[in-house]
Amino acid sequence: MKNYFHEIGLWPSADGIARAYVIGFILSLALTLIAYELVVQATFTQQTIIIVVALLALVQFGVQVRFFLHLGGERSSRERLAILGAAILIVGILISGSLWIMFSLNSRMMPDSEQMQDYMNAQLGF
Amino acid sequence: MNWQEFIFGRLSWSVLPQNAIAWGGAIFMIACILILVGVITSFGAWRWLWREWLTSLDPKKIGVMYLIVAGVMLVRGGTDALLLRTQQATSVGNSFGILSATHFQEIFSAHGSIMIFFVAMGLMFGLINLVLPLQIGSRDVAFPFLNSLSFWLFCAGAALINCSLLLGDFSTAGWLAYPPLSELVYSPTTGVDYWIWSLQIGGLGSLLSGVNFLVTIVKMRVKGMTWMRLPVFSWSVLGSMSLVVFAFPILTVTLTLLYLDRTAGMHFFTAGGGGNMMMYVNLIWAWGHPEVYILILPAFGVFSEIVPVFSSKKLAGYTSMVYAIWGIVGLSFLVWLHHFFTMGAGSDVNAFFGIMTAVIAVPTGVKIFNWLFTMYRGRIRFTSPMLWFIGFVILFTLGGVAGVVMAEPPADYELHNSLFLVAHFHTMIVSGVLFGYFAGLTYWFPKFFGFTLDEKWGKRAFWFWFLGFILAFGPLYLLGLEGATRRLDHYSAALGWQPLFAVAGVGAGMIAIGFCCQMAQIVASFRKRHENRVGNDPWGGRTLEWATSSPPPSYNFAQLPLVHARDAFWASKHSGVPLEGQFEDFSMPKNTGAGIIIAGFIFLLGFAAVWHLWWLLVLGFLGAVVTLLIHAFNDDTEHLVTASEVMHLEAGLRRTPSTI
Amino acid sequence: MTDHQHTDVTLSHEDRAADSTTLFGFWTYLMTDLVLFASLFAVFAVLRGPQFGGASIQNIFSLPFVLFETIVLLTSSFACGLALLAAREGKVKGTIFWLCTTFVLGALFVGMEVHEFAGLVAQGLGPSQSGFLSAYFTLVGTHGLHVTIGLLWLIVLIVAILKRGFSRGNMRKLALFAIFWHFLDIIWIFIFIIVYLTGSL
Repeated sequence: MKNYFHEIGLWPSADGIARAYVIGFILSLALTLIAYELVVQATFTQQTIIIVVALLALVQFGVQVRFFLHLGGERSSRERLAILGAAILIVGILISGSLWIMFSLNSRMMPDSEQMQDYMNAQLGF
Repeated sequence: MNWQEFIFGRLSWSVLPQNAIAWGGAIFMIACILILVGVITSFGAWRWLWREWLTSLDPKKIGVMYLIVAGVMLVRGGTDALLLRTQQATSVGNSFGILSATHFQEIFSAHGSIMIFFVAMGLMFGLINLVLPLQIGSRDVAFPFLNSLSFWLFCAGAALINCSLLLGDFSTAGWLAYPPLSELVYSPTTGVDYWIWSLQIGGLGSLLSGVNFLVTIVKMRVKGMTWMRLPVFSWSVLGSMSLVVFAFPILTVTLTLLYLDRTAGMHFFTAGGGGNMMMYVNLIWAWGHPEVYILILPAFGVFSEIVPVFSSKKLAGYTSMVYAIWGIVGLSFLVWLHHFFTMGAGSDVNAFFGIMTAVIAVPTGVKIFNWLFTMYRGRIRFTSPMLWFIGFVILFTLGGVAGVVMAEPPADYELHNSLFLVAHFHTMIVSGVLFGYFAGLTYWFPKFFGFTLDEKWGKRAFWFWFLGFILAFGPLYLLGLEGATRRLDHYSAALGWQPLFAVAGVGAGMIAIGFCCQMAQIVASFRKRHENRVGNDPWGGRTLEWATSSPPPSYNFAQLPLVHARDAFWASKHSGVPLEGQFEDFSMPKNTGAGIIIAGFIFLLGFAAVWHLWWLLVLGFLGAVVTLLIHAFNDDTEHLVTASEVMHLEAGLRRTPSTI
Repeated sequence: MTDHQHTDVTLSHEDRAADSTTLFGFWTYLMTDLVLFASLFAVFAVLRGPQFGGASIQNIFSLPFVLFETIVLLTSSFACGLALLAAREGKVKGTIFWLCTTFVLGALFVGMEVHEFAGLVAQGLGPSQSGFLSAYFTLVGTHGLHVTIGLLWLIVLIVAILKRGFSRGNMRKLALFAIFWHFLDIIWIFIFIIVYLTGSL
């Protein structure tokens, strides 16, 4: 079944797959190590590190989706890419919405002492 | 742990029912089961039942089975409702009604859980199984075995929730079981565990169905049926299944975390130990809101089929109907906080979700206007499906604007958890989901059984449901505005609420009569089936299912249709261009018992999880896995139907009239 | 069973449609798994403290250890790709070799995780100790459970290929396994970053 994976749409073309896997592996390894080093070295502010590391995660996500899952090139993977896009959208809404909601609820219903202080100050000397 | 605890877990003699009404329910259920088993045995029909129905992968048969189970669960959920109404009409002042407070809480929790998960979802999946493959010109769904498994998992969930009638109690925490009430400290018995596992198992069935029907619509439309030629019912199913696929995993997680809290001592939602109960409410509604749109979208789709046919006019605004579906799908993930405006989030959060909630009313409004425009200047036939639609339009619009009132957080602070809310969501679900699926059942019944349902009883059923609903829930809107909260098992006579509750009780009784009319309708229809026999197109339909015989052959289409336009069957009727393609060979799936067997093992797993019978849990799990592996490596799952066989079958069908 | 299984027979149109439909269906199921993990991530984010990058998290893990786990799983994902490449060439031996490599690395990953969990429980930091620990064990544990199921699937697959070679059914199962395995490595990226790296700051 030489062309099975291509015929069912798993691989976009009959060749170039080996190269894709090798590139994907090397890039993922590099992105992982860079993120690790950034955290361990801690030469930047926490804020910066978090943002850069988050970006590196997203890039690695893209790398693995493209080079391991072979999505993004061809027509044969269009449906799977579309449903991945929808899932990412829903996940984004679910996580950001939940964090926004829970942060708001927690600070108002279960405040820690710092938040309580902020609230009291905001009430102008309540 | 001694050997008795190991073998019997939490089971003991004291878990049998504790009062007369509870015993009544248990005995009635056991009697029904025994009678059913007795009848089947006396007809010697076990072999036939196994071969023709229980192991069938034909979605038409699976659909009928879903409808039967949903109907049975409607009896249970409806009985719960009558008990609740009786309690609220009589438990005033010095009288405490017929139910203890605890029993009342168990009943309203069971009522909601059963109606949503087993009645509404069951009716929906039943209709989709029957109609969808035919409408898209396909012979089957994408994954026939998975379809069977989904149905039997649905049954396993229903069976588990019914076990609680006999063994143990049920949850008292409402249909969504908020912590801390649902945590072990305040609900130490098996009640909440029954709730968790029957929903978890039924939910798994729903999730698999979601995947199945989504893939079916994407991949198995007949050639020529481009996206914008898809019937609106099929579009609505695609929208609903997209919601299933993305929302149900949230429920799976939330139920699991609650179970871990209760059984493994974890602290996700506990009052102490770093838990956060509000996160439960957040997650359960992140699922819960899409769930109600999952239920309503196919019902809207049913109306989009019925209104054009009985107005003799094509659907107004097809494109806007499609966009409205996707608008609803997208927005339904952006409104979930409106179920807990009062939990304490800031006004920025509340305002955002309040606005989104108001916005989501718009696409539904688009749909209602399109249906009305379709009726305008049409030649309307007031058959019972059309009556269900008209009842829907009136009630759903009124209930819907009640919802928009509550979408404003300041108003919601007054109305949250009042009877106004209860009246609103019942209006949505009864006049929307139930009326929609009742209309669909009446409309499509002749297709699958070859004869129409008795119209006289159908109309009587409608009027009892419609007027009964107004009497049952109209007072609840008023009571809510007067400050009555939900789930009250007793109230003071000085409030003066009893007359309204009494009217509501009468309304509930009328609805019960309406249901009896539906049962009478089925009996009368079977009796008169030879007079009411119909051909393939009893209503003047527009979509592909009306091109097949009534009932269709197991393979749906002898020749797959050639589609060139929207409303393909109508187009073919009026252009004279024939619909049928070539005769060709095709494969049909063979029957298999793997679905019912795996679900049986999962039922044991669920039962074991509730009663802490860990040995049974392992057995159930292993049994399911082994059966699944055997099925996965079974290569003999299809049989070939050759073109000449089909030609012979079709010729045979034309010569002899179909008999049931 | 010869080492080279070269059937240049292409699939019939119906078989190709059916198998690509199965691929799409399984992918759709993986998307539901994505939402499942997202819910677990949301719970973790809420229960570990109000701050993202929480200084309030105790250091309960060794970052080098987790880095090693990450590289092991990544290599396992790569090995799985190589197994598919060998299967494409019809090489039974090569495919089995790379599938076994995938298995060994995956098992090593699970073993390391179990070791980590056992260590925490021994210290009295089990999942029932706090909301944070409940969330940590459940998120990481659910991923580990998926990997374990994958390992069991892999055993079944290896046996199936040894018995029946590159039949259509086995090729299909191999394809589904591969996207499952790659998907799990993708989820791990996020666990590594969100749970471990940002937790170390």
